[in-house]
Amino acid sequence: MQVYAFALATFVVGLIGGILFQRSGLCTVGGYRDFWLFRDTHLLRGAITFIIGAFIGYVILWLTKTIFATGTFPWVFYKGLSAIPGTILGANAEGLVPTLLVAIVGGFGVGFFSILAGGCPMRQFVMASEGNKSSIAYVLGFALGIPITYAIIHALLA
Amino acid sequence: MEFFEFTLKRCEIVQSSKIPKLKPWQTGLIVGLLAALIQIVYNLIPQTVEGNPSYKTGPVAYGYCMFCHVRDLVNWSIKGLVPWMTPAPISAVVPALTIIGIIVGAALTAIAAKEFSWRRTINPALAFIYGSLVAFFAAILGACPIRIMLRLSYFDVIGLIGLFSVILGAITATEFVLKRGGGGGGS
Repeated sequence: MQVYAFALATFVVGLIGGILFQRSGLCTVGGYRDFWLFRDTHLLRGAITFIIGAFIGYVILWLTKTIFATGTFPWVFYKGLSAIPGTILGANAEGLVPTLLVAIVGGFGVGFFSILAGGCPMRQFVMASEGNKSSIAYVLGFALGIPITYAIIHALLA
Repeated sequence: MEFFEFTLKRCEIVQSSKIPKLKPWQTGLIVGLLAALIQIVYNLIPQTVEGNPSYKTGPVAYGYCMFCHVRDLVNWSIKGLVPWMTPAPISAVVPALTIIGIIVGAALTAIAAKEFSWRRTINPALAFIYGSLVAFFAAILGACPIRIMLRLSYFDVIGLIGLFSVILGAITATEFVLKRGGGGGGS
């Protein structure tokens, strides 16, 4: 039962996000690009208010104390410095230098190739839904690239 | 520039539609708040899912993540094919359907607003390669540009460093590729 509630809740959140993203054309990487090129803050404001909105949400969750186990927010004061748990390198990214390296190399690559593709992954998914064939190809490459990446990294680490 | 013309073209389409247009900052605020608050389902439901006894709090700052949720969905779809994939534990039982929601929501809204049209911005083969490369680096980072902002809101120092790296990468590509006529697409 909870499983279906989980699937439904995440689907509804995605639905709301999809509608709002489509109506506004929000793009985070595009915001950095437009600010750098034209000093245009139209999209950049979206990225900044996203951070503010999420921060307000986490503070609400933290103050109500129903959601987080003790000491999970603000995260940095309790857990110290370690790589984002979702990283492919997992336990291989422990220690200060690998942690920083993972964040810097991964972040740089994501920003660089997102600009070449013309938008951040979220924007590409929305543009694919609007009928942009390039974005549909991007989404297919994105979805296929993930298992291939895991296979490559596994082969390299083994 | 190619993408600038594309943006202008999009604006003309937008003005002719009846469904009101939102400002990016309004969307950012609403979706950011939603992304944090949806953490409730990640933290409450997994505790009761059978087969995951050690999974207590759920992945943190996980409301929206283009990379993580696609990975979970792909892993769930091709179960067993790539055994070393490491999705969030809840997704072994049921994947987060955020991606499906975004695609359905954006497509329906685009159709309703008469903004849906078959078009292309850059060479699809090139876009496919860019998609794989972004997925590769997002896998190393463990987040997409959206989730890295969520991590920053979560007071994660690595989130801040990752966001600075994303901005640095974007500026580098803008300076050395876009300004010299390469790349393209519009957003």
